[in-house]
Amino acid sequence: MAAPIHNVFVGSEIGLLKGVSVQKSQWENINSIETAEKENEISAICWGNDDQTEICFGLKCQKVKTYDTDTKEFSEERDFHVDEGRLRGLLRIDNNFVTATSTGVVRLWKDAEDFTEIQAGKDLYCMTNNPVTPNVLATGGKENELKIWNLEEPEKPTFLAKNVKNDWLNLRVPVWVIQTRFLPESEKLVTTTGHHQIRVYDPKAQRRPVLDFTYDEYPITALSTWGRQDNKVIVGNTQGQMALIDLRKGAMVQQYKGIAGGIRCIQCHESLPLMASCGLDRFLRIHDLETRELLHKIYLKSKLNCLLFGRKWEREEKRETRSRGKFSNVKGIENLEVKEEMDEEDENMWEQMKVVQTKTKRKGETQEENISDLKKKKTQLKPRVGKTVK
Amino acid sequence: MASKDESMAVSEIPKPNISSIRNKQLRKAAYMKLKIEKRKEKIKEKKRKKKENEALGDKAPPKQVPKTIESMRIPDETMVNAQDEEVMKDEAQDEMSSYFRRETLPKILITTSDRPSSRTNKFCKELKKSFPNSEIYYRRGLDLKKIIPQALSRDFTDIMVVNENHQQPNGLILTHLPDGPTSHFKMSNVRLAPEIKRVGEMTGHQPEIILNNFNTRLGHSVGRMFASLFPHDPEFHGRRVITFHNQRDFIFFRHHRYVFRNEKRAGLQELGPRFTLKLRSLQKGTFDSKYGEYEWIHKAVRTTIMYITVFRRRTIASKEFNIALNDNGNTNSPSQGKEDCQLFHPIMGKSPIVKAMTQLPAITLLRRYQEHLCE
Repeated sequence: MAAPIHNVFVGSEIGLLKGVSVQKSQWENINSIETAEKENEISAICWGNDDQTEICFGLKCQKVKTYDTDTKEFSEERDFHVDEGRLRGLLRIDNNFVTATSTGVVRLWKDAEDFTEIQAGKDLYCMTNNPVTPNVLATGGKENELKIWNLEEPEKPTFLAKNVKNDWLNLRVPVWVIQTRFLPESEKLVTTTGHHQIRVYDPKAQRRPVLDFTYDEYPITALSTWGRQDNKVIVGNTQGQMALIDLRKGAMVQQYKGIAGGIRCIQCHESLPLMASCGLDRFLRIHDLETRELLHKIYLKSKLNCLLFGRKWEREEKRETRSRGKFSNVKGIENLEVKEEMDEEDENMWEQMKVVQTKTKRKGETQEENISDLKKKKTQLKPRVGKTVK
Repeated sequence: MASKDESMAVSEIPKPNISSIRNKQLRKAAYMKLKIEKRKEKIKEKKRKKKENEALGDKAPPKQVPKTIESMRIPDETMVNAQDEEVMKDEAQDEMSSYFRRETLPKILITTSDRPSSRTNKFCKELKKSFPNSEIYYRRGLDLKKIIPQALSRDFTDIMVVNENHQQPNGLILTHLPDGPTSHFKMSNVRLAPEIKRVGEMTGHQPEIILNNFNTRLGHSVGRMFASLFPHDPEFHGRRVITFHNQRDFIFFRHHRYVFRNEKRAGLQELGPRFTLKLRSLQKGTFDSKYGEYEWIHKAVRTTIMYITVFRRRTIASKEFNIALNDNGNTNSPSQGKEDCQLFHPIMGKSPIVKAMTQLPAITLLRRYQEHLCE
């Protein structure tokens, strides 16, 4: 393969889209440096299709560009100008773009003229959709409570969150939703706020959050869910503190160290326990979620805003490990997968296995003891495997 | 070794081990004797080598470079290459760029923490003298966040806040207006002008500025902040120079007047306050320690030493440096003109900073200033 495969794409504050091939620690600017302007700041990024061959990135000035990773070409720039605000969110739903601006205008663009508009309230900070039901959007912002919208009925939100109760001094708690994500395969939402709270909303249950707790003391600017797990999220704040949070306990499980600047974006790999993060310190970092280890750290020269973690990692990496066996930590990941497969096989194997009897020399020992020995072994093995899988 | 010992045993009796002498006085005497012998041998060896080298002439082996912390240092991966287009583009659009495009003139507001001690007040007065176009304001218990809009309406471009502890100035907050960034420094070893030996009197000339070793990306940002505190055109006949010298992440502030004794020698006289800064954090935007986003923050517990060294650098080989000098007069300075004051130069030797400053190769640079003047 001549050209390196980019598996992480990062958008920078001066409008450069960077393709990174992490394993080789190589990266390049996909668009030319001449276009690098503060006006062209990349503020949102998303995949254009399910094959992850198209990357759509939205500029601060509400323009959207699309890059094809196969042909390595940009398709024409589309201008979704609404007003003076900056672009806060970008989604692609069935070949239509959804944009959100900081002034609170969310639009589904079927055409340059034909669009569905949602007024989501001023000072919008985030807009996401539910991957299971793409038509369902969630928005939130500063003094702008979390709202869930259905694109089919844009007039009224389907769910409007209610602020938490007043605090112990009977003062109103300020609202500042910075990030929100739908928990995988559920309707529940998790939000992070500028007042360092992490909240879980269950629209079916109540309008107030079902879970509300704080992490550290600084605005939480980045949030990501982890694969298909609905009880763990990763958060990052303006001071470069990044942690894995368990939503059942409402507490930090792991802290990722060595980050010098505020975190702007975190994303996990689809299937592997890997996490990419980027931010103001100009580094892209890849962590192993299970061991907390920092696998890669790549300096990308500009302040970074947002990133996309491609799923290509897996295949490529395996090839590398097979051919060279060089990446020890990645090997670990591979082993984990193997373990997963092994788990079921093990189970069958144990069940099918005949109980081997050896002739005992001592009189007192019987068959049963042998069996109990085996069982012991099995029970010892099981939890260890189970832990790693979870 | 064993065979050698054997051969020695034949020719002469091996020297007794000094530590086996149990009388302290005798042991000491023996040790002194041994030491003198060793020294004599060393000098002898040195002389012999020198002679040898002289005899060889040009063929002599090259002089070895001493291994110092500085020379052994690995360059940081964020080191800025002067020709780097992306960094140039980035810097051309950053918050300080309007100064470097000569659109704004620096105007500095100096203030302190609440109820400053007399020492901090004196220090501020000296700061005012060293930074042209600056004013001291009494804090009046105001929040910094409230000061910022007021300063903006009065066209200040920078706010400098001196914090103190135990009546000693120990912190410096530097906010660039209108959009930041804000840097927070720990300040130590503050020496006011009267406490410096043979201190000179400050003049009102606009100073030249030397920024040393601000070579990483973070270093560049901080260096640009310092550079944008001073007016563009230094008055060279004032011979006043202010140095920000970065060595292992400590930034040394010095203020001198220079004089050219003859073609080869130059003299320096220290003028102003002397202090050391260490970067604590660099924050995007104007001062907002609660909701502001940090570009870099010093964290007390670090996993590896890698993160501690912010401006890690390798000393520039003097040769390279001279070439760079001949090219454009400054090696790494942010986009300022040829006649401008910023220069980066290596300081040789391992002597402490002040001593190094007096041997300054900077003097050669200063001479270049004069050449500029003549041109």
